[in-house]
Amino acid sequence: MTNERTPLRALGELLRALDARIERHPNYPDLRNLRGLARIYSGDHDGAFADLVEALRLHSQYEAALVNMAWLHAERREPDLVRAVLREPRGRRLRPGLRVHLQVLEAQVRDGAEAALGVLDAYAAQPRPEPEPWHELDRLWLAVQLERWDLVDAQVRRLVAQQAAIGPILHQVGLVGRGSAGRAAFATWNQCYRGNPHVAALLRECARLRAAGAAFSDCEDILRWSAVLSLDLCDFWLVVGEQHDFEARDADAESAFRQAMQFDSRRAQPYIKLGQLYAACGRPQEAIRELQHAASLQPRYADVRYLLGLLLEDLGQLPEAEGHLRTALDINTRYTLARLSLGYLLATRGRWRDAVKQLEQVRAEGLVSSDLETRLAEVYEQLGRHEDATLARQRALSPESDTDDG
Amino acid sequence: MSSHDYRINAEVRRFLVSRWVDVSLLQIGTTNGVVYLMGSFEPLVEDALQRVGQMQERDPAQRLLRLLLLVEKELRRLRGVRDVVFNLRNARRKGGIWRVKGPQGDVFLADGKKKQHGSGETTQGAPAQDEASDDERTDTTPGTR
Repeated sequence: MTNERTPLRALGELLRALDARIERHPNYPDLRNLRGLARIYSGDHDGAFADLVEALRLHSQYEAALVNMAWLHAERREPDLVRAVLREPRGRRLRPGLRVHLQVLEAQVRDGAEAALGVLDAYAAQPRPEPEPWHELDRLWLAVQLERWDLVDAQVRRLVAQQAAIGPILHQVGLVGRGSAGRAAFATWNQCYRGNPHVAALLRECARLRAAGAAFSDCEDILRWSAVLSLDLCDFWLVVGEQHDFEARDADAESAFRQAMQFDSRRAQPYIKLGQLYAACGRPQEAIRELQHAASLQPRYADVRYLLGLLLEDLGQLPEAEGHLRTALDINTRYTLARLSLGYLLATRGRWRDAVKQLEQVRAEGLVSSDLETRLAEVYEQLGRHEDATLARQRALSPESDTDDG
Repeated sequence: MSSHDYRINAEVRRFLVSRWVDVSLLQIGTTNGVVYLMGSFEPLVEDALQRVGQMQERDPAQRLLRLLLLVEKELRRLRGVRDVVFNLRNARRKGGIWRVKGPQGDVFLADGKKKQHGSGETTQGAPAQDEASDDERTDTTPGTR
């Protein structure tokens, strides 16, 4: 890490972008949550509080906003309010491991790092603890606060033993070999963690934002910060793969998505991304294999069903393709592109009545195009609806003429 | 969708990202060389126009329209793209003229040459121009990738 201020400077850029997006979409809880998080770091605690309250008003069971609220109270040195979060009904419903993460936070603010380590130890000694990556990071963080470098080194060794790839990242942010070179980065890690390690989610957004116009290396630096604050290497490689994909480096993108799978084989997203990449590279069989695996992990993902439908149609497996397109529409009834593809597929199969029903629905949903009107005209002709066919051909010549202007 | 369409789709997505368009708010699809963009068309950052080398606009509605027009033109130049169809919640096109609601009434824009504010449904004074000039370029210029 060459510039210790990199991640927090990137947050300022994201904060400005979030302001503009919230102005346009005031009712998106995730945007409110992200801005609340960013405002904690900018020192605007009242603004952060208002955003997190609004996020929870818009989505009362929003776990991330609740956790961030607890961290805001901790930042304000208000342990009673952290406890209040844990005691309210939503806090009681948090998964046990996450509750322990917040109990550690409360103990640290109230009684110090030693007491907080005691909370972690007590939980680990329970018969069936449900460990979270946060516990590993909390332990590392608390050892740093206590300047127990023996514990820090032991914890780093433990983490690297679990995931060898985390080693270089921990080194880069100064958690390995705390020499003078890594001191500044180490201080930044402290600063980030003290504010709220969940800032990792925000840093991934920063990286995505920067990827549009900045150098890839810049994004990668921010992503490394995100990884070291969350230990989520699956997400790290996923975003790296997306950046390679955006810049048309297909082989690098493929490799990154495969790395992501290695770190969390139960997450559908890397399989989806790889499937999309293979489809774009003209490798349909491999795309189908990855997407089918994604569908097995996440059966209610409409985009996966849509893409599977298109790929299978290309390979001539029309009944299977139709099944996937219909599933996509069951999941998302307003998935107009899936309906359009289903309408075209039904027309190809000569099921004119079904086809016209779907294509007319596409028109009703506001999609107006010469291509659609031409296809509708063909279908009307097959059904003997010659007047409708003529009208559709006329609309095909000037498709915008009857656009709903509302 | 053919394998050609998947490639076009990937290029469209990459292109939109490079122009600072928020692709998370869009459904993007390509069928037989026709590109469909549905949802909300919005820039990721306020100064998206400036970042792609265009003059910055002060009015947010005009900024959005200029970016939209720029994107539409450039998408039509991608190799293999026969048509670009928009069905956007926050901007409408009729007779080749884009319209978006701004704080001072509706804002119109056609081919980036003229713009004005209106107050209601009327589009009087907005330049009458269709898409023919753009369509003529389809498939004649190389892709931008």
